[in-house]
Amino acid sequence: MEYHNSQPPEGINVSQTHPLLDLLRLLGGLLVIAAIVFAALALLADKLARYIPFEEELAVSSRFAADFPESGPMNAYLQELADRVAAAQELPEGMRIRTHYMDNATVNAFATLGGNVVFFRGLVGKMPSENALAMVISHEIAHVKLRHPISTFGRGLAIGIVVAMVSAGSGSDIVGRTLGNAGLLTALTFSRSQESAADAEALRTLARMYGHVAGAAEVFRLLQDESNRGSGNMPAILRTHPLDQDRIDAIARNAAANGWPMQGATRPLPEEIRTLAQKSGP
Amino acid sequence: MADLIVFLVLLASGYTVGRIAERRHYRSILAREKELANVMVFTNRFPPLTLRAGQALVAGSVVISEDYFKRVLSGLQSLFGGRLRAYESLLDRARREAVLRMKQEARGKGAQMIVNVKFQTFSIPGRNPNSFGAVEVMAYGTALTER
Repeated sequence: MEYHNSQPPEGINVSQTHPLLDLLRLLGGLLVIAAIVFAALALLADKLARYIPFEEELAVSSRFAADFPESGPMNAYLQELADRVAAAQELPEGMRIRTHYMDNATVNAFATLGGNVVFFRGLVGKMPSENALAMVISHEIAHVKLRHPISTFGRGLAIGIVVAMVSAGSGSDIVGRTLGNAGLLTALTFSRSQESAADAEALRTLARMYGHVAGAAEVFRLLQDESNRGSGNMPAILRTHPLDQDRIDAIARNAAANGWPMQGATRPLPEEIRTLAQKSGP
Repeated sequence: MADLIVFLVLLASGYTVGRIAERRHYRSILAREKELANVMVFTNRFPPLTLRAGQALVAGSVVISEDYFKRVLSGLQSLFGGRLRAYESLLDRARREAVLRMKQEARGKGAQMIVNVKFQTFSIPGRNPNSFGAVEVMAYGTALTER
């Protein structure tokens, strides 16, 4: 039998598609899927996290309770004022606010999990009256009442878990940062709509406490002056709670709509509190 | 940011150098296949019964590695499942090259026929547990030489 070797046709065992096209198609598909998943998660985590009972928040926050400083005369005052504000704010059953005072020149205040709200010396020192301080306290308590910390925290955690499914390293980085004490204790940045909601709630409380909202006007005038002074040394509170014209207008509109006067007699801060708050240093 | 730049540079160089190397290899394979066409390979286990010939074991093996571009592309493809098109050309080249080297050895022994040709593939793991780094293909058979 006669055998001969003929050259077989090319391209049977290889694919004809151009590899770059392949890569672009796959990357595009992956990006689209990732975008959809992230968007869905951000939306869902926000809404679903609200259903986590407040007691669970307390269980988580008790882990970093030891990181808070000891309570002193300043914190006692803040706690007393916060209790008054909370009473006017009509918090749900089982929700208790715990204030903490950081003796640090940072001009900032934030709310975190478990009803813990933190105030810095720098901020308290700048408050011209008790009404202004009550406004800030009420704003942070409003974040707690509206469950903003847990929903922001839940969203960050959900995104971290999804990223972990694709890349274990980066995912566990994100989750670790969110769950670690650093993540729990730092100022969670809230969305603009969350800030406006907290503003509206605080305004209502202020009106209920004092009959007018002069404290709010004072606080915002102060923050506006700080931001106009230039971003060279912007206080931390402006970085975490950005102040823009919309926010100021919303306050004014809200007050006008509800008939709350923007001016009124304000109560001064106690003398010893002012001295403690206005001391200089880090 | 630096990570991204390194990744893109590796990707681009893997793609360009890999494509050039592959094209050159295919050109060489096609030329040698024409040249070695008269050394015939059979998968039958036994040679024709009437043939009187000496026999020798011949084998050809080649180790080819993936490049960075292939690794990334196949990683993405394996996320979604389906054909790993990136590796198809790699294995095609490796198989044909192994056969050519086996034929070369057979011709060196003066053979014009190789029977009972079989293939064996080995994977050599790469740095990443998900990628295979390099693949070795060995083709071996019994060459029928002049007695």
